[in-house]
Amino acid sequence: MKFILSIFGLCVVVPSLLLAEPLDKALVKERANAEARLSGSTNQVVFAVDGLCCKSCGIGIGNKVCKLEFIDTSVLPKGVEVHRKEALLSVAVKNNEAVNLASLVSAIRKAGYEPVRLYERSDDGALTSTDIPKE
Amino acid sequence: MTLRVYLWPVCLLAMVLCLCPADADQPVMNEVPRWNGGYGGQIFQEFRWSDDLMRGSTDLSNPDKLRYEEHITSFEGVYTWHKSIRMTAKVPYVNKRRIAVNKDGSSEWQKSNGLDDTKLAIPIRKYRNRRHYSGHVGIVPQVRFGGDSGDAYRISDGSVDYAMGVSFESESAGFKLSVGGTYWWEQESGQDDDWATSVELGYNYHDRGAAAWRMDYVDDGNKYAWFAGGPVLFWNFNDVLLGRIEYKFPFYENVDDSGLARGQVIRLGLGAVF
Repeated sequence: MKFILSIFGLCVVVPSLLLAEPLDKALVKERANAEARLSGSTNQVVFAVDGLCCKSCGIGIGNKVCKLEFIDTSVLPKGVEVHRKEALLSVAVKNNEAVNLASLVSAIRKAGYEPVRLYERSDDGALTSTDIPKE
Repeated sequence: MTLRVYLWPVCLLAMVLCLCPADADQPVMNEVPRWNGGYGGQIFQEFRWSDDLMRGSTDLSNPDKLRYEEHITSFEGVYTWHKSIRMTAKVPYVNKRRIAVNKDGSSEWQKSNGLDDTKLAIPIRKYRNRRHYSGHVGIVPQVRFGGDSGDAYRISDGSVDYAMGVSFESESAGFKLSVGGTYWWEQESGQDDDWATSVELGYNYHDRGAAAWRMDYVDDGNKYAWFAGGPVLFWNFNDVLLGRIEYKFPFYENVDDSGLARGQVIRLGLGAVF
């Protein structure tokens, strides 16, 4: 029995360690993806969202986010675009409108997902990221 | 460490859950709406037919060309209070017919139409959201009741039955695995309990589309056991309308005593979520 459990454990642990991507590498990749999504698009922010890997399951994000006053639904449908392969969410905001981060995060959570980081461009054009505390 | 670390334990858990009696079908389209206050409905058209006469798992010759055909139109609805709890309802209308042999040796079509049991369920799920991965484990208490007795032959036994289901789902941007099951405690006297399991492995080939292979095992308790599989296609038309097509072919069937097997199934579904 111990032998079987050992083989079983090895089958789980070894492939996991071999396949696991280092966290810092994943963050670098995520930042690069966010930067690419923000390039050429004005008045948008990008969220890294845990669990966001299916566009259909993420329909609710648009339903919730589009109700916020500062969201621009003329640029993106319902003001959002799901990038499922990158687990990123682009959000279009109205020009000269203040972004209420708390309400945006709450809307994404009500849609069933967990936003973890916000990427946006500062006034000088540099990419900044803000970690979002877990609920 | 990224989601890949979770894939192996997830697959193992799925294998364990495969052993549980299950039926993963909960509207709408299983996964949506997962947002607070989300609701939706779908219509399923299901066609079943068979002309395989069997005793146990052995095929018999069918000189009288016995055959059955069923067309089920199922109306299903869902309301999600929170992603962890939702309520679903299914109301199927059955239109079925079969060839029966009379005492004088002649054969004729018998027909039955009417409502089958209404099913109410409360899927309770624990979601896990990680980078590039989402999944849940859940339980699904259910009840079925009502239903017409049928004309020429029976549609529903009319008893109020209770069930408990389990569900598991794991999804990345590319692949998706769903496992589910339901065990029904049959309340009609003299009838055995029935149960079903399903496993669906899918691939998200497009932002709006997925293809999957689904396997089902159904043990009706008193009539048949049915192990079948086939392809599933899913398409999200416009973030409101969702479509699903399934075809299932039996790989193994066992009929109690002798009779027609359950046979092949085609399901066409169109749903809307808000």
